Amino acid sequence: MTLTVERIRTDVADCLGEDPTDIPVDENLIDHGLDSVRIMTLLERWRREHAVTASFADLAERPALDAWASLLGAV
Amino acid sequence: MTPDPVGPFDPGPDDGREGHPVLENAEGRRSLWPVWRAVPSGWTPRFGPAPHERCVRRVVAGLE
Amino acid sequence: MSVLPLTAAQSGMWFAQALDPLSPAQNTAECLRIDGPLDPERFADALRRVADEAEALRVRVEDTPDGPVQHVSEVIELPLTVRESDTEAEAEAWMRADLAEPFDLASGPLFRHALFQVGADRWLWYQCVHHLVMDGYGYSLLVRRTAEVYSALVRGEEPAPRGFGHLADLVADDTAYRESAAFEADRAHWAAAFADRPEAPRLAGRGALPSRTFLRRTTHLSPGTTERLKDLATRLRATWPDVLIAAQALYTARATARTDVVLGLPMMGRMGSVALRVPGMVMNVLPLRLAVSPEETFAELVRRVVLGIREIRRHQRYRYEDIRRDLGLLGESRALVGPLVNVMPFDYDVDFAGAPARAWNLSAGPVDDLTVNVYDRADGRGLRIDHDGNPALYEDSDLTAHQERFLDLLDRLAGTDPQQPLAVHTVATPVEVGLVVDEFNRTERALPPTTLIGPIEARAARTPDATALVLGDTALTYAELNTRANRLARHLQTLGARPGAVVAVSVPRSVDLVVSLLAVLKAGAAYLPLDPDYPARRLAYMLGDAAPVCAVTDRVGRLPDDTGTEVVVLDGLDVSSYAWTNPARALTPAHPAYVIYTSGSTGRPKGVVVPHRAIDNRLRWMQHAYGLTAGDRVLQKTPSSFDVSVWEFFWPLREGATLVVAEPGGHKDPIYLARLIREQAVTTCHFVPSMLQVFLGAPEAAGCAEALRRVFCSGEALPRETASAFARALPGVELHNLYGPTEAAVDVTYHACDPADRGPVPIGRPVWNTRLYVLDAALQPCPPGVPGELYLAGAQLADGYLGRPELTAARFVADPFGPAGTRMYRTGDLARWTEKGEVEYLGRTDHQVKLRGQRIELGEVEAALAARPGVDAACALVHDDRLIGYVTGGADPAGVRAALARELPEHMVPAAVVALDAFPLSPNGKLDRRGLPAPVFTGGAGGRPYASAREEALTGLFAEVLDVEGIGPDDAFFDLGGTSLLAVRLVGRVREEFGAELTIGSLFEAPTPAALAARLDAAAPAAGDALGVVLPLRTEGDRTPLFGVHPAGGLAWCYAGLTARLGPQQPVYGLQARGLTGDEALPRTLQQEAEDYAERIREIQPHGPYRLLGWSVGGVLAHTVAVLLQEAGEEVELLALLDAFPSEQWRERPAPEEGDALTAVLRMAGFDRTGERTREDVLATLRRAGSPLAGLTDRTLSRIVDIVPNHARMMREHEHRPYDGDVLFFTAAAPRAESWLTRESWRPYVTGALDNHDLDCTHPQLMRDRYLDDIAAVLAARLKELDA
Repeated sequence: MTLTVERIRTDVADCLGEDPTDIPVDENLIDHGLDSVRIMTLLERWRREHAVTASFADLAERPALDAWASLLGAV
Repeated sequence: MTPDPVGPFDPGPDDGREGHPVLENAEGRRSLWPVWRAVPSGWTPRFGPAPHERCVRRVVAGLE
Repeated sequence: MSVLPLTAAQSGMWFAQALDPLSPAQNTAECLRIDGPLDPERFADALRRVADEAEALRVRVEDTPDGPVQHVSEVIELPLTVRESDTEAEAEAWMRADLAEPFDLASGPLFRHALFQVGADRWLWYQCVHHLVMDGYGYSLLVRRTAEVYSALVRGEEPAPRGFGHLADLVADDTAYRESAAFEADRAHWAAAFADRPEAPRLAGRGALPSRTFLRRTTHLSPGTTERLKDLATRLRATWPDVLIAAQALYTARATARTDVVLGLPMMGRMGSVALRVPGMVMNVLPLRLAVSPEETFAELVRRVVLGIREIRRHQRYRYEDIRRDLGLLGESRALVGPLVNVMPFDYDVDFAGAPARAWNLSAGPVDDLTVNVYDRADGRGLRIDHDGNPALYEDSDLTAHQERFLDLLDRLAGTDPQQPLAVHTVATPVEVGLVVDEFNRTERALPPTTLIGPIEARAARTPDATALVLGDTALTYAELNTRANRLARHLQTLGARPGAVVAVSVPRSVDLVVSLLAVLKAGAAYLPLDPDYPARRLAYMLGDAAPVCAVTDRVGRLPDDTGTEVVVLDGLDVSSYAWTNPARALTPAHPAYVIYTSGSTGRPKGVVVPHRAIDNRLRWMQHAYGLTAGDRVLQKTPSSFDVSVWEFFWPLREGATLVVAEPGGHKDPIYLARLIREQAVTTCHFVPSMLQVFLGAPEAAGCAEALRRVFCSGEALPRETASAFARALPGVELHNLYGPTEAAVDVTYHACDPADRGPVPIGRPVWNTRLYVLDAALQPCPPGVPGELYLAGAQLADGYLGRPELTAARFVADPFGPAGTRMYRTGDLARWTEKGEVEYLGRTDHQVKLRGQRIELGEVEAALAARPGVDAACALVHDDRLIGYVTGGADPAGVRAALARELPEHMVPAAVVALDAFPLSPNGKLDRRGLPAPVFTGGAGGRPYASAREEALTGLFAEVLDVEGIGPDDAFFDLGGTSLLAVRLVGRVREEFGAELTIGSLFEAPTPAALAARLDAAAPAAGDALGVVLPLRTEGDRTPLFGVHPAGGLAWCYAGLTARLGPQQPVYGLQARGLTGDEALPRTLQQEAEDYAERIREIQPHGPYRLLGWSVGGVLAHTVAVLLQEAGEEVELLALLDAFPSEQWRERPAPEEGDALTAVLRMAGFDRTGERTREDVLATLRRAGSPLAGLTDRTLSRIVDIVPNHARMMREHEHRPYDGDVLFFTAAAPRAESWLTRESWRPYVTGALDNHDLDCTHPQLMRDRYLDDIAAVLAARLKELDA
């Protein structure tokens, strides 16, 4: 199943305990409490459910919704 | 001048917290008790929970 | 090849390795199991390619004159071992051996690979890398890339280029950070966050340097619990590591008895950084500080972990080593953090051409203390948890215990509502709770409902003719003792003594004391012991507080007379008309047996009321445990105000044994005690450990081994060294360590010392019908090994504090573990269980201290200090076994100390009072006790040459025993921080050096090396100057000399203590009677004597102004000398009279006979005459008390016995003339037999004012230490005025 931008936003919001509408598209998610454990959690989920092949470093290098969307080929 | 230790029965910071009930047993003996710990069997809360200082004054004055 | 500097992180590791080049501690390693076919050739190829890509693997480090640098080689030989026929176990053994091989940083390479085929399709890949070049995240990058390259090679493809970042970028990044403003801001953040340097919570209770290896225990949290923990984390809007860290904080807080814990959190430190793609060493450890309190919920704790981590992440680039260095917390004793919680959620989801792999860590680097490594490998086995411990601190069993408890706690946390207070959780496992609460406390024993006194009366009836009591030459049978006590008891009953009432007893140790205590108990009342040595004010307080129906004393004037308590004076009391039989009384085991006062933290001593059933339980247990027989002889030497005396008095009397009573004061004298034990064949006695140590130091102690069967210790911690010294000095004698507060009927635990044992001496197991609980801050039981507060429950608890219901309710609290409605007493003692069910004492949770077995609340001392005028704030602490007071404000510290001596018992009077401008405060505004200056006890004499070799040698001994430099011959022992314990040591050294039998009392009398030398000289046959007319107590000093005229006995040695207190600049001369040595005739009149002294004074100081002083008869003489000097035209600027009264006060009174002269000799030494009949008796008393007079030859003593009545006669014949000026007067204000004496009778002979100062003592006590402090303070102030 293809990963969508909305799915990414919802999962990130879930993992940060925030409302999806509060997650900005182009801001550094570290400032919103995203950390390595949460990135790993998201990555594991997306690998499992969406066959994502990106590595932790790929995600951690630019932790923002828009960067991830293009990295993961989300539509 | 020597700061007081802060254990379950010590006054602790004077922050007005109602941290202690006063318990009584069948022999009429009283015990200060921390509010966060279950009341041991054979004891009944008779006063409080109230700040430490008020419990002390109440025990001095008598519970009745 | 490129050359780079080391990053800050690497530098720390390089130094650590340089300190111990052969240590493998910084080797890190991990292992991957690959399940599937693997081509070793291609795998080696992949490893080679990855090594080519990863610069860090090609690093070696060279030390240069400018510091260490890292060389990155272009190519290296791949260090790979391939073994294809090992079992998994063999492979693991190989890995362990390899892991123990250190790397050579200078030669490199700093990594090693091995590949094992351990099954048809099972491979183990081992990699070991020096921590300086790789961290945990770096491993994950290497593994991922190796899998990627290998898989491509297997597919026959060239691996996609995935460049690692450059090491140079890491170095540049590091350099840029250290030069940035962020670096300074981070430094400031950490410095502020830990400015108060909280003590690191260490599960082992101590620190150590990292070892070369570590111990590891591995376990897995079950998948079910893992899932529930993750669910809990989600519900709390946290991650599972947050929950684990919170759990570890809870565990650590409870297991170290702390409310403020600092955990170490290894952080990967790469988020948002170039380092994300650089395999290398970047990770950092950051301190997470958390307050953990029982009332808080787990949800709140987790929230604070989340916020705390968010906070530390903002400053995560600042190196851990730098934080510690900034705070001065380097080295084994100054750690910053307790356990490390190392969560490694790294990206390990890899396969090797389709073969799945699973990784696990083998070594995560050096272990300072304890590291909890947690891995989530998503392999369905739940979280893997490794407990790594420093073997210098932990054994395997310790790690196992910590791990099992931690897992048990995680399991319970996962299944408990996180909104419950943390108090619901215990860190002990259910098995451990059963052990410490029930198993270790199986002490139930049914006992008959008896009292303390009942069995004593039964014994007296059974063995009336056995010897009950021995004191000196006196011996009483059980029948005699019983009869005397019965008669007195009946008398006390007429005064209101009955069950429930209190009767005070203030009698020095004597037969009468034992009779009195028995009488009170027989009357049914509770006795209240009042130490006759206590200051009058304290005695008055206790009498007022306890409101006894009457008070028994040996003689008039023993107790303050204004308290309204009816006093029963034994001296002259005739009770022979009372029946000799046991009196009737309606006494039950619930009635109080005694009331003993202990120090109170709020400034008032408190009376502990102990019921009969409690002390009866204690004595029945003691008899069961140690089986006293009729042949036993028990030493009674503990003051009756100290509860150890309760068993000394009554245990032998219940069992038909003999009570051997020591002389008053004898309990402080090891030589006397040793003789007494030997001569009286004492089988059983008690020592406070510090006194035991002193006793064992006396060579005489060894001679006691024959008589002694058992020795009990209690009152303070028994050091193992003392127990070992005991076993050496007294082989075959049992040594028992007992423990208990007054609030639980003397002792509640016991331990028999075994000479073969090592380590701390436990206080042992609970006695009959007694339960011990070691509880944490949440009142939950601590498992064995974990420190907590000791609580006591069971039959021996006191009723509480007399008239203090609020204190009682706060110390005797509801027992959540015992039968319904019972109480437990919280001791304030820190303790822990051993695995064997014994308790070890660890210290105090509050500010109570023990000095020589005496319990002291620092709060009470502080309250007394703060109550002095001119003291703004006060604080007290114990430094080097000495009680020190600190005050701010304008008060004179010496005066404050002197004032305290009037209010507090001797053991509670600070050895020194230090005046400060302000108290040192910690950054959070609390008193920084560590910042208080240690009192400086220094000698003040400076350069006066030694008067003799003996004086010089004695000065050396003072310096040695006191451990003080710069002592002069005129420095007083007690002003230099001397304690009675140190005094004992000094006396021992004097005996060794001079073969001189000095006693402790002599130091109180002659506290300076000079005075002591004079005393030793006097003791020698050729007593020289010490008996001359002029006694030069101090000849040095630039002030006008002070002349002190002798009292009735003719010796002026008594002014030595005063001399010591007046400072090195004040010369002091004593004037002594003629005739002490040669055959000189005694003077016929005081006038003649005074003329003689005036001439001697003018030889030393030809002209005025003069300063004169005299005690007793000496005052009368000083007055006469002053008049003579004035009549000769000289000025007299000071006349100080110490409890001296003019002639007409005496004229009509009969002069004393020779027998009275003996009394006078005793009074000169500060004693009241009790049983001494002959000169020999008097001498014996003086020797025992260490009086200087004991050292006199018989001839001199005979002369004194003549001099005393001569003075009495001359006094009565003397005619005074008026002295022109003021008189400084000191009155011994305690009630006296000569109640007609009044200083007002001086009025006709003094033209000026009588400036009087009252002292709470009797006439003979005036020259004792405590009162000399006062006199000296007043005198010094006056002398200072005169000098100005």
